[in-house]
Amino acid sequence: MPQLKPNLYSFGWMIREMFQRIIHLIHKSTAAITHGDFSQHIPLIGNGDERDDVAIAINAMLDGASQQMDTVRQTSNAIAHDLRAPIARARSQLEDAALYAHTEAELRTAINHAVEQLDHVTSICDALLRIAQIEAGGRRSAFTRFDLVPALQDILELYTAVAEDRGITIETTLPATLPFHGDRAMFQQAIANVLDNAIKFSPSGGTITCFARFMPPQPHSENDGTIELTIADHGIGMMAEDMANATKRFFRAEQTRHISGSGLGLSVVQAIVHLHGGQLHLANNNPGLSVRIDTPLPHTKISKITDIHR
Amino acid sequence: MRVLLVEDDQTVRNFVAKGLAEAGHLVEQAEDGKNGLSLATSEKFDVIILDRMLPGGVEGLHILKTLRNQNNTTPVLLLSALADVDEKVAGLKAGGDDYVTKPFSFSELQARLEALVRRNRNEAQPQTRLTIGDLEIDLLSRNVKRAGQKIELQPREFRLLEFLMRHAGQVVTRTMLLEGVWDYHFDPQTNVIDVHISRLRQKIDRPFHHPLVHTIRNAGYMLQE
Ligand SMILES: Nc1ncnc2c1ncn2[C@@H]1O[C@H](COP(=O)(O)OP(=O)(O)OP(=O)(O)O)[C@@H](O)[C@H]1O
Ligand SMILES: [Mg+2]
Repeated sequence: MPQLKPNLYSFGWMIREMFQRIIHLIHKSTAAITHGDFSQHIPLIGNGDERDDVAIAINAMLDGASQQMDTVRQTSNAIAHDLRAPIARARSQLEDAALYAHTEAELRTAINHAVEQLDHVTSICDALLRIAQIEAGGRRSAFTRFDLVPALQDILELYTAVAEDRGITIETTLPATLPFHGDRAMFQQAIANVLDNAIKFSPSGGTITCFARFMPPQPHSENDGTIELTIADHGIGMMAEDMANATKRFFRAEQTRHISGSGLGLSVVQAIVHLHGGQLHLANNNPGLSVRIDTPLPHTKISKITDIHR
Repeated sequence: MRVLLVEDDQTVRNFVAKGLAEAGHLVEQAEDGKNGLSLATSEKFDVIILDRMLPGGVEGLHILKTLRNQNNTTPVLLLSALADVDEKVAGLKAGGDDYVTKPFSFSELQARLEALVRRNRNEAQPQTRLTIGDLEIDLLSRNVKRAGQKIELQPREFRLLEFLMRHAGQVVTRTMLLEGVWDYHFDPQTNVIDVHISRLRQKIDRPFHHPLVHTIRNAGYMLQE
């Protein structure tokens, strides 16, 4: 027993020494971060022990934070830029009218145009707030079980009229029912945004297909299956590298710049799909774009109980 | 009608008061919650426009709750910069009858205000038939006739027409239609409503002499003889 004591002491001393060194390094890095420098990493000692593990974990955390900061920075820049454009238009219209309008009619036209631009600013703000609100995740409490088929049909009915108006046909293949878990109104908004794109980027005479099905769960799966919803068009389509960026706020592909839009529709879709634990896939439809939304159906309490009984 | 306007932002208050006065309404104004509360509880109004965030410690929802606790059922339209869905739900739960988010257009506010007051008056007598000019719809059999001629409508077209008829002579905005007929509460990006109105017009106006569905510029639509 007595010979164990000095060992314990030296072991304790070693650990304290090790922690002190790590804490010193962390302190140095965090001091740099406080000043906005995320590039300061904790150096690895290089002998692959716990100290390096700690350093690696902290460095990974720093990289994550740094990436998020970059996203915030880029997003703020994009927001500022995309809000400036309509504000600039409104401003020059008003100033122009103030300086050069000769008649009341000219003044009123300019003012009405400016109001339209400001409404556009409002709708951008609304969409951004909505994305932030969805990403915060609070609305998951409003999730219910519902049948996706009538929810889909309602939205399709709303947009089919618009499509037909532009000579576009929407072909629908839906099963009799589709069990779904989520926020009905919100999910409908996601579908509406995707449909809106499909119509907007389709030529007259084009066809859009809407297809949904239930995929049964894999063995040992964590859910009760997946709802697979595909909306595909034969429009202008997207290049692979644009698809990767399509859900970024304000992203609009080069070849569609002349078509109206704020580049926020798919950001909203992405946020809603993620809130539902699902995934959004964009693919080439040769020609056109195919958008697939896979949403897992979580275990119901009832099915859990029956599982136990089995 | 007599309107109480509780709003602290002077620009917004003047703008709304002016518009309402121009439309022939009597407007009483309060620029903070305390004044708003004492006016709302001591005098009678046809409708109250209530900003949610007010200075002076008395918040809009507090005024609303106080009124409802006193069994005062005056229709209340909430005005707020809080566009959040949950905020809307909170406002309606507290006893609000409608909710308009800032910034808003005056035509939207006015249309909703008039719909509120009208709804409040009509609630007593349930109707089974609605008519305007030579157009009549039967809410039970879902039959639609114009000048004695039967018109076939899809279920949604019928609901759209019913909504317009219930608001005959009033401006109905696109947002009101989207909420009232489709129960959607988001901005549909494209003007989906215009397309549906134009389809309805094909059926109820096109074959006849004079149109009943009118487009009101910068505002929406109105069904009128
Ligand atoms: N179906 C599609 N076919 C071709 N390109 C598409 C399609 N859907 C989206 N895109 C491309 O992705 C971009 C981003 O789409 P998103 O819906 O986010 O924005 P938007 O439609 O331009 O504007 P908003 O939806 O905010 O009105 C579009 O601008 C377009 O370039
Ligand atoms: Mg879009």
